[in-house]
Amino acid sequence: MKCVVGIDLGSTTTKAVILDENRQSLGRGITNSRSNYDLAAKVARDEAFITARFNLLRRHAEKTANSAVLEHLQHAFRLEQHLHQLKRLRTLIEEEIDHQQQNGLRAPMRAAIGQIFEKIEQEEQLRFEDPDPPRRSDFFRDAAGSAYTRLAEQIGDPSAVSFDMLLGLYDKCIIRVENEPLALGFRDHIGSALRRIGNPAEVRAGVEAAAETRLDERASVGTGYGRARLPFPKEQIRSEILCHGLGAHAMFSDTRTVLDIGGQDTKAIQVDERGIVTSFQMNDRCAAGCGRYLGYIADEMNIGLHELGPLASGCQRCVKINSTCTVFAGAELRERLSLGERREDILAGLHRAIVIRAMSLLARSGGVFNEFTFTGGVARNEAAVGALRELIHENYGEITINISPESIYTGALGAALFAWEVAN
Amino acid sequence: MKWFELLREEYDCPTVFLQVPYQGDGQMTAEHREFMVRQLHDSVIPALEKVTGRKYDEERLRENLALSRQAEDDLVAVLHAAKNKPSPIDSYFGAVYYVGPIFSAFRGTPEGVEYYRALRHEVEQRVAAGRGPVTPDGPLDEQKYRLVVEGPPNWTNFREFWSMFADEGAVVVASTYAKVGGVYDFGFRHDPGDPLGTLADYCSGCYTNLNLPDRIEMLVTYLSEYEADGFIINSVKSCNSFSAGQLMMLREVERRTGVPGGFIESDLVDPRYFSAANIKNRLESYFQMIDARRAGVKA
Repeated sequence: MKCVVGIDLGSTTTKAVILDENRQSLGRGITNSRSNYDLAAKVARDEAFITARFNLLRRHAEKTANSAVLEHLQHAFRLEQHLHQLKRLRTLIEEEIDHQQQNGLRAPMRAAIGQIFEKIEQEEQLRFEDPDPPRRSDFFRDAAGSAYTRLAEQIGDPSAVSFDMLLGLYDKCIIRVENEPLALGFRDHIGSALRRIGNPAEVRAGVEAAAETRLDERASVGTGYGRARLPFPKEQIRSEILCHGLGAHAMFSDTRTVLDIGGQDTKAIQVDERGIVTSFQMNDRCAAGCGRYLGYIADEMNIGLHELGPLASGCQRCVKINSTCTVFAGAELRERLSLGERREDILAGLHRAIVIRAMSLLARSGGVFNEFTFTGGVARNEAAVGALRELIHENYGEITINISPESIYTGALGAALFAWEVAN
Repeated sequence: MKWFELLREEYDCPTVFLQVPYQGDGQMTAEHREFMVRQLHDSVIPALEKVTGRKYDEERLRENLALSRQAEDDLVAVLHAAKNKPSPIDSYFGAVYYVGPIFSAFRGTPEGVEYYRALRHEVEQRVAAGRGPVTPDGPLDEQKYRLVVEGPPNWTNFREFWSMFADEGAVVVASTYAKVGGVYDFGFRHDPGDPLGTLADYCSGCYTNLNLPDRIEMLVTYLSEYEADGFIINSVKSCNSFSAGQLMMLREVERRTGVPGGFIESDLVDPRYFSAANIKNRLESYFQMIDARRAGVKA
């Protein structure tokens, strides 16, 4: 099967989208950019090919298997991948312990690590069995890190193997797990995933067909902050502004204005009825009010990025925040807390402040026209979306606002559409 | 910004100021002109006589003005040469070198006249040979985009900035920055018959002394006369004489010409405001936007 690939190397996350020969979405993948764009591009791409194979499986097995079985198989596959990464992390930590200076601590350290990993594996098993597991980050680093830290806190003993020692081991090894190419492909884990769900006969032929299908990559186009790192010829690198414009047009064909708030920049884009960009504005070198700002706020509060929006939604009285300076994000937050403001109210104010900054870029680019599409990582944040809706309606009246649950893939989708044009 | 007051502090030297009224209503009035001539007569000339120890010699000034006029004719011929395809010059990055001598030490000198004659000759040869300008990265004969640029260049990363245009095959065919020392291409010439009056006319007519409607008019004229594909505004932090009103100018030029403008931000003197990744991103996006529009129009 012929296919094309679009890759969006963002400053925070790297995304890949695969389209089939009919321009239909076949697969998509995402990973954290981990200051190693080459590897991030490879991981996101591999991930997109895995989901592509699951989609092929879905197309093959539509008639024979119900979707619940296929869903279950995909969850099992994810579990197998996760366990594989955990195993590697554990091995590296154990090797690290062998190099420890203090002989006497090696045995208790090994015991503590054993306890932590066994518990994490049990928790993963329970999560797999849970029909509605709690939301968590898509990235191994975040999921494994939060479980490890929680358990290390429980079993750490200040007089022997302390929490700090355990955390130090993790910090040292997680970077290596992330930066080495692990065998996480479809063929690597589909067998064990099948066995885990009892090897159901109705999907076996589909799995075989999906694994056997030759995916013939005809063209690829790269975009995003790190696009210059991609080993593509110049004509296969597209500006993220054009990609977001085209991607938003593909998701919502009546789009005229696009706002993208990414990790490092905010872009206001106007497109015509074909999805061609007619005007754009973006922030200057200062990344105030971009996704990274929220990242720092989350770090400062010691919570996950995905928890910010829900927390801010508990606001009773939105605090007015003047600065969206990323450098002073922590100072602003602590000052408000010291004045006795509630966390929820401060967070709501912070979200509103970044949206106000985006509003000024929109005005610079010519305004907001119907329909308006919001893309980028920040479009996943319900508090930012809420503030944006309010301000758009206040300033531009009744405008249709589109936000796709897949909005984070908009740039990669645009790149894939450009790749499709290259190939056809 | 009080640049010259600061320089006076730094060097402890005498300074003399000429107040030039802004053309808020789009023209210089007789009173403006009279005001400037009086200052030249009453304060600038006496101050210079005192510093140099030489009497003001009006006949010599007339000779200098006549020489300047000759050089101005040649400079205008050079700037107009950018109407050719390919353009033999870059009228922003390259034009900095072309306007330098006349804006600074060589106005009204035989050396200045000689420089502009030689420059014009070379440019005319390039036109005849169908050659583009020479950039720091080599000749730019294949020109994919013809641009008009508004705003000063950033001196701290001048070469890097130029390469971002040249690498993409973009040549600047007209710029407003090359007119900060006189808008000769719209007809102004120094008049030896009225030495102080012509200096007043010159000062009043420099680009940053023009009001926003006149600046817009100039950009619109450049876009059509030089058959440009687009225009870029480089908005700098440290020169409000340029930056104030640029977003309004952008919208107005877009509205009047239907040509989309590009907007980039940096600075003339402060390297901290120059983000190569950000500016490159915007320029590449702008060029790709022109490509997409061209492809779209064909389809």
